[in-house]
Amino acid sequence: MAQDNLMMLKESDQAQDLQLQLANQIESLVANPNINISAPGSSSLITAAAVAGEIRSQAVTQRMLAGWLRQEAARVAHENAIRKRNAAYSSQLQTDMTNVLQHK
Amino acid sequence: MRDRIKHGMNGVNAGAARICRWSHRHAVLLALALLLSTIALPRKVQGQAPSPCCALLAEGLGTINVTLGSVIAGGLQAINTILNNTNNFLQTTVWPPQAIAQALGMSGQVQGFYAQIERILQIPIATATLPNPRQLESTLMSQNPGQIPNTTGNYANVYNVVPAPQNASPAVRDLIDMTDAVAQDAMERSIAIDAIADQELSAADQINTNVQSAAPGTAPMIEAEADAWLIRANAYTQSALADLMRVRAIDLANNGANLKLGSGWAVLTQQNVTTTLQHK
Repeated sequence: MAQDNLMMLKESDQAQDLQLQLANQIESLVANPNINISAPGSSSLITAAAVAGEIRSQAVTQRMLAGWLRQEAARVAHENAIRKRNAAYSSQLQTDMTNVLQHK
Repeated sequence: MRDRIKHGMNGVNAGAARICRWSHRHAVLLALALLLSTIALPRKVQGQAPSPCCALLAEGLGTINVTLGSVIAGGLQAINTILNNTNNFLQTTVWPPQAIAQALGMSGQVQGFYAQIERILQIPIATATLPNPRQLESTLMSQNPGQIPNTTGNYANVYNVVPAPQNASPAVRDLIDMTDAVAQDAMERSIAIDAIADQELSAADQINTNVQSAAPGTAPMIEAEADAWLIRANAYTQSALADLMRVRAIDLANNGANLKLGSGWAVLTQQNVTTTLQHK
């Protein structure tokens, strides 16, 4: 799980770079006065496309949260597994001690 | 005298009967003759001299013509000029075709960027090597809600089950069971969140496709739909954060429970040691 999440972090880094490039491109379309390609009438199209980009960005965030959730769940499960193992070892130790004392 | 009158009446009757018979026999001819006489008869017409009625009518029409030409035509011309200027402004400043084409092209570029991101996110990251962990990992990474019921069995194969009553105290068993439940819930939720993210990506693709073929006038409607999806996406993100907080809360509660159990065991051990020493 740790390796999986480390790999996912690399993917997320790349996805974030691409999203930043996209945001820059949208901004250059609407905010740069030297590029005369945006107009009041076309801004609604640009906004709609940008909102679709926001939805995708949220989906990427959710993927990362799902990975984080898996990681936390695995950590908790791992600690719980140690607890289970300790209980099993304690029980085994008790049985062994009883056997040893009986053999005396 | 009476005979003479009677004779005369008989003659009239006979004449009328003859005329009726003749007209009955020549009905078509009689109809044609009546038609021709109607057409050919001269009618009463107005002569060359103008009547006072015509003069009044001509003056009225003239006034209307002057009004149409000067007042109304001028106003219409002004309206036409304003409409032309408005159209020109809308075409060159508000809705210039070049800017609209650029905006539609940008929508295609957004699609391209996210196709790259999608490809990156699809790179396989599964790394477990042993059969049971591989099975659990495969379920957790499946992004398929249909795999959620398999989580319990796969989880138990890797992390074991709750100890039997003879192997752990009820408090420890409760703690272990609750922690297992939260960990499994979180794993199952992570599968669901992945599936939701997939749905959102599909919706965003669809919105983007619609934007590429939209007219500038319909774009705000598509934007409203996209905004609704964005609100949903934010809600799902918040739901994922809530799941994460639950796991962290249980982790913190476990730490607290360990301290409580530890102090309880310390007291018990102290009592046992004291009892053992007293027996000596």
